Amino acid sequence: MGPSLPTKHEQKFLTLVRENDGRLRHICRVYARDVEARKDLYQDMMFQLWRSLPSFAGASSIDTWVYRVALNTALTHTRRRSVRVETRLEDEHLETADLGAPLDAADETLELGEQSERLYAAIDRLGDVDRMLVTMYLDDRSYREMAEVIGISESHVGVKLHRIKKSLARVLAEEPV
Amino acid sequence: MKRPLDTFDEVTRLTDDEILALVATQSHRFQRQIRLRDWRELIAGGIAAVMIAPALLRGSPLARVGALIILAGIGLVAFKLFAARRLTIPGVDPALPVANALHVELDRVDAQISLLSGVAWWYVTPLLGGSVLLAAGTRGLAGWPYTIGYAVFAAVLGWGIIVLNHRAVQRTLQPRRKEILALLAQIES
Repeated sequence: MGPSLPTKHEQKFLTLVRENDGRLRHICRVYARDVEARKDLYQDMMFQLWRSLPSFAGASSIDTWVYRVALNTALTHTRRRSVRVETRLEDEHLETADLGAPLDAADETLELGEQSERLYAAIDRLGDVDRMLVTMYLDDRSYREMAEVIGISESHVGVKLHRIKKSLARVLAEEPV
Repeated sequence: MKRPLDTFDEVTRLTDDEILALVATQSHRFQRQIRLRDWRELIAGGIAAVMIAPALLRGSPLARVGALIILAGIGLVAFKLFAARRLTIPGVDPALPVANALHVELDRVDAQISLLSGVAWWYVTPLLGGSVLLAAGTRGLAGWPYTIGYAVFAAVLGWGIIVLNHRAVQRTLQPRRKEILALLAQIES
């Protein structure tokens, strides 16, 4: 007997996961330290999305809803497993997307990787709530959406982001170790 | 923001079937965990009730009082655990705004702290106290050395249960409470 076709709920869930995959991975990257912890968090997020999807009533946009579920799961997960160690720099090796590319392209990719790593290392020094805001800011979310996800006012989001940007600029201005 | 693939991207790239299998397994595990806990407690309570029923029906007045206290204790424990479970399962709705979810979780942790801190009165005293009266009523005056020995054992057991629960509050729940308060402070700052 061959595999059965996905049900309507399964189809909806798979579409949701595919459309938000990059977002979920980004949150895992910000909230969990090593590959194993990220994998656990990613799976935990998928389970929470699966469980919560039937109760999504459309009161907020689907993006806001996904962010709420993913960030709440990340916070709970982080507390439960203590996957993160403050200010410890990432030590896993990067695997570049195309190792057979010409040297210039490889250099560019590596440089991009280094910049990305420095940014992640800087984000890692922020508090859990500030990291939420940065995550959404890097995803071009509006202040209103951020406010809806976290449950604070838009003006409060503005004040916080201003403070975070200053803090990140200070960390990024430091010489890389 | 474009960035190079890392090991995480590679190991979590799943097909549709793998994703559905993963959530199905996790749902099954979650449901089984809840079912197992419910059945375990139901069976334990049932066995205890069946064991003390003869004393309640045919025992001495003291044994009957002990058996009644134990039965009332089983009812109280079931009620407290059921009330606590309503808060802990299925857990905080993950689709709430983060600040609201944290407040709900804080209420949950506070309820757990209150439950474990009061374990002496709703668990230890009725169950162990009732069992001491039952032992005394069953053995009668002639069996007082046994009754005293059992009372000492019950007191030590009760003390152990209270200490373990207080330790769980100190080592697990209080730190979690502190973390939630810290996160709420971060949100409000």
